[in-house]
Amino acid sequence: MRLNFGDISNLFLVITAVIAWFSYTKYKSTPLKYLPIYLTYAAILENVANILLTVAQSNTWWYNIGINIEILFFLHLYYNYIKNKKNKKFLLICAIIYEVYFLINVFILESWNDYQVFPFTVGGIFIIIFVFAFLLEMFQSSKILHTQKYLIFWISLGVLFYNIIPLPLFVTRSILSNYELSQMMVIQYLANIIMYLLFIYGFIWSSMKYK
Amino acid sequence: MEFDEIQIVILVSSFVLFTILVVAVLLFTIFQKKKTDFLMREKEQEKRFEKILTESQIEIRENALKNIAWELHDNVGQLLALARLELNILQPNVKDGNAPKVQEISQLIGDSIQDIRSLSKTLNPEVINNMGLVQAIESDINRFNRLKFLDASIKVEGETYDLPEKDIVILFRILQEFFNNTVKHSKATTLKVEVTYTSSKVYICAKDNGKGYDENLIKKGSGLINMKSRADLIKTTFKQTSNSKGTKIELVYTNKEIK
Repeated sequence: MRLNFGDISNLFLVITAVIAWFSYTKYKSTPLKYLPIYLTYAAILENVANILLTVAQSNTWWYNIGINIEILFFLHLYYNYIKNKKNKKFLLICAIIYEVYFLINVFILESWNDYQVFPFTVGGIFIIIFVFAFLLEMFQSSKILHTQKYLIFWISLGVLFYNIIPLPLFVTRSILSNYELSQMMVIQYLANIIMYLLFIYGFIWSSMKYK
Repeated sequence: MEFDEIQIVILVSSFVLFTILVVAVLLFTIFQKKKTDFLMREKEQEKRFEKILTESQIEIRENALKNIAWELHDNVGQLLALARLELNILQPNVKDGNAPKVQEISQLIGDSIQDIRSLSKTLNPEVINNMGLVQAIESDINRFNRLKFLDASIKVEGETYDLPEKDIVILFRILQEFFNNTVKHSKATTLKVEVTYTSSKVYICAKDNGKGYDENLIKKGSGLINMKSRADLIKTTFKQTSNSKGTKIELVYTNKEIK
């Protein structure tokens, strides 16, 4: 059996989820407590998507639901972490705009069977903006003294890599929807692997003391 | 694997973004290290400044106490001694009916002289250093017993040895602060002090049987902060506990001569 980048990325995802559960006590009292549930969910999402592709020849609707939940999860996570009230409000508005746009696209403009690349690109950009907003807050506080000890710092780095690296791919897919880009998915898988490695590093090396 | 122009653009721009992110993280790491070093240095400086401040406050206080001790001993004490002398000279000429009264006054003056001398001893840091820790505590305890403030006692265990002069005064002042609180506020009837010497440490425990205080209310009191900051100055652990059955302080002093 030959492993491709997609399989390796899935393998890393499963390992990350397992390590996340093992180090759960470190962050169970922080907003990150839902992260292992999210990672387990993502692992199930990927594997069910593979099965669906074999059985039903299409998994687009399944991905549409999955990625939508993923974007909302991260927006919700940073909503809990960001302290600046204006940024919080702005995040809430962005989350609503994204979700409304996603639903309009799915139910009115397109359908569940069309991959919602444009709303997902917008969602990804929103996440990038709020990760930066959070990191900026973190660097302006006393947390800067022990940044590397905070799990959320490593999670934020991972999320940044995951959302920024494939951005050109997503933008191109949004603009040239009929263009064949399946070869380029390797960029997405590499971004996934980098994110999982940063998550794993955070789960292992972050300290329980810094929440 | 062949790529057309669009795919190459995607690959290159993804790689550029990746590189920018990596460089940003690296730059941040360097910046963060520098900022951490700077903040640590600042904190260290602040600590040093606080130490100097506490030390000079103690020095000023000790000087003031020394002056008061001198005044009491050399001025008030001498005046009282002179008064007693004059009274004694006068005594043979006093009418028989007043003789016991004069005798009583002379006795009172004598007691006052003794109290002033022992008070001036425990106020003067030089005298405390000469007496040593245990004797200084004993002197205060004897004064309390003599004045019938409360039933005070001291128990010493282990072989005593000399401590650095500055440390003796600081340890004694912490205990004095506790004694003062006991006498002034606690309504205690007993005060027990235990001093245990081991080769590397000196354990001091003082407790009264007074009414105690609410730890949450008095925690920020200046007396307690003073005791704590003084203990910190000589790297001594300080613990004070209180309940309705009394108040206790524990000090653990590390003998710095032992390496």
